[in-house]
Amino acid sequence: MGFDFDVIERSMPYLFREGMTFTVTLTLLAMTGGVIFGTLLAMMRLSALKPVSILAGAYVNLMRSIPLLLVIFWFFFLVPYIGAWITGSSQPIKIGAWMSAVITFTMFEAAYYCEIMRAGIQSIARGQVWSGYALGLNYWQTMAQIVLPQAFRNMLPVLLTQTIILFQDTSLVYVISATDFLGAAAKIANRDYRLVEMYSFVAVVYFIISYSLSLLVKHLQERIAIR
Amino acid sequence: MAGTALGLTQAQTYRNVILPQAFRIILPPLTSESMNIIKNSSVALTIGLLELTGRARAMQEFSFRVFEAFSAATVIYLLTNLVVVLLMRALEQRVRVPGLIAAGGAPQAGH
Repeated sequence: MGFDFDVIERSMPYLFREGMTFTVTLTLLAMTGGVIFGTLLAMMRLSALKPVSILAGAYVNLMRSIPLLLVIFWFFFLVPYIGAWITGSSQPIKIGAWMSAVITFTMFEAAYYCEIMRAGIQSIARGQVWSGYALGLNYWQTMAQIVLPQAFRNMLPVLLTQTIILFQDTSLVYVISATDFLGAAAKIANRDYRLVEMYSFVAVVYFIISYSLSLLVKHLQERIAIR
Repeated sequence: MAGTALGLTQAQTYRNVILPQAFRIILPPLTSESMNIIKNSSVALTIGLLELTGRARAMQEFSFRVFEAFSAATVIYLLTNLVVVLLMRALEQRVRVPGLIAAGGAPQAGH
């Protein structure tokens, strides 16, 4: 039995239409949600109000010290119960693997994006915040118009690197039986008994995408470096 | 350079000058990396290895005690990571290179 390219070719539409769409959509949604939520968390962590910063710090450290796989299980099994508790129904609400995955990855990645954004905000000279206040801007205006745009620009390469990692990590949704790119390939592999072919193909595709993204990051790093 | 001037060979310079400093300076990133290894070991579950997360999952499937099983696993991971952090912090204090300011590390992407 040689290396069978035909099985890859035959399953290509399924792999990309079902699998890759899932992976890419999940990555983009989790990235958007994670960056927004992470930025808010970073602002909370840097807040002058002690309880707020302690709360955000506890959340980030908790998320960063338990494995992603465990977080996926936690959310997959617990979100239905929490939902039921909030809505006050006696039955666990039905949420499905897809919504559960989106929520999990957003919440989990927010902790990592938070640390990146915190470093970004801290890299801005304090005088700029004071200048903002001196001009009569309030906290939100200073953040939105002065600090955050620069913080994003400084941290763009690291944010993108984190997104590449997120893209690779989405393959873990396979443990809650969601069909992402890897899950789709695993299904074909088991059906046609072509494990070597399918897994090699998946590895090559992940490598090509991640590597070209990291080349983009490198290029960006040189272009947007300030001074 | 100073090593070479003292008549050390390249291997000796590495052995006696560079590496003893390098290993002490890289301790903070080494800490986060060892925490990452502990966390990522949970991925071994996907090839059927019964490690901590795998056992928690087996427990949950066996007894339908979702909260208890995953809480136990979470607490164990938290404690393990706490031990690593505390040990590494103590080690850092002990072997700190005199005269160097502990630098705040650049942000790193991770998972």
